[in-house]
Amino acid sequence: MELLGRIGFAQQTRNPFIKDHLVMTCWVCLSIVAGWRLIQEVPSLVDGAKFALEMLEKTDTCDEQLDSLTRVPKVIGTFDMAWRFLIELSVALGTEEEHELAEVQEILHNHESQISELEGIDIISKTKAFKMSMRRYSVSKIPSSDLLAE
Amino acid sequence: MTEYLPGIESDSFDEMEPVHFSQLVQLFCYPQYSFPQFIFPIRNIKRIFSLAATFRNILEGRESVDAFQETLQNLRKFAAKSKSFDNPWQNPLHRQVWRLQDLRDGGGLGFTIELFFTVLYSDKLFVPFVRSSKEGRELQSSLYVGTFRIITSDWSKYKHSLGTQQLLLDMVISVPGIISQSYRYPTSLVNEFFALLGNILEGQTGPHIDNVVRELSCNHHFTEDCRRRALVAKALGVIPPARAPYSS
Repeated sequence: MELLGRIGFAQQTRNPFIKDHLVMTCWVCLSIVAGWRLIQEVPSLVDGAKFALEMLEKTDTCDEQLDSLTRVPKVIGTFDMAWRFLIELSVALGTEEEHELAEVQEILHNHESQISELEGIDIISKTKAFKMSMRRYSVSKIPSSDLLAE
Repeated sequence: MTEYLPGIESDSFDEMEPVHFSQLVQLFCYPQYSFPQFIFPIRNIKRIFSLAATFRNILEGRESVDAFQETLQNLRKFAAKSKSFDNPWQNPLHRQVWRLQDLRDGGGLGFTIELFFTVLYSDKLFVPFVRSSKEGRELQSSLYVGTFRIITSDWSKYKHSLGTQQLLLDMVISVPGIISQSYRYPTSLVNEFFALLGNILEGQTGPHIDNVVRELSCNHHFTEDCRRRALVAKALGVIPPARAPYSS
């Protein structure tokens, strides 16, 4: 993997002016196969996905901070709500290049309930709680002999 | 290594990076393929959340409209791109969850195939491919098919992985995707993909399959593009037919 990474860097594979297309094709194919093998052979990648899904799919938890926002339907629902609000707002603002302050204020005022909903997302504490759990997970992954050695 | 793969876009892995709405616009509106490969849901909600303070400041007269111009431009770019999200299959967070499920239950089979097709979709590979001689295209096609066969060699171990099935179905139905942009891929590779899809979905049922069949059937009636019609027919030939909707 490291070697392929170095070749990728050396070949500047993202450079649109690269000339040797066959080298590029071979490098891409080898890299895809190497990436696939890495997923098969490095259990920590699968463990990381398992942990993330456990956090997202939790239906009951003792950790009150890790409540609904970290669950799949809620995360998707919150994202959809925020996303749709922005689309509605963009449509309301129209295509005019310039807006008067009063005009923008009126448009925003018409969407005040959605702005309040957006402000109501307690994202900071949820993110902290999620990070704390990730740290607990990272520590639990360190073999106990390593912890004893410290 | 993936950072060198052409066409692959990813959210920043830097947790300390301050969040801003423009990052969300950059992430979702500019990738060449449909969506970035790695996104972080809560970070993106935070990016939208960061706008709330701007809106409140304008509402309460603490910020001028001039300061709002950049946000306004970003909102317009965002709205133009977001039209496609009316289709539930295009919700980027669904896809992110399927990727995790695929990594957990499917050995990363769907994720790797998606990565491979995303790279092939990029101009970096597509443009030289179409400009190659016939022999050159045949050589490249055989390299792609060989790679595809290696990464899918143990498909039977993962055929029950729901995340894998979802990712592969999404590649068929999404725009851009295998059907809508089939000209970007060698025909032999597209055929391999559909053969694999048929193997994975054989004997499988579920609303995720039914929804795609309905979408494709609808598409089949309205498209006038012959190549596209043929691919839709091919997809419908390998995907198990939709069950009748449940009625109480």
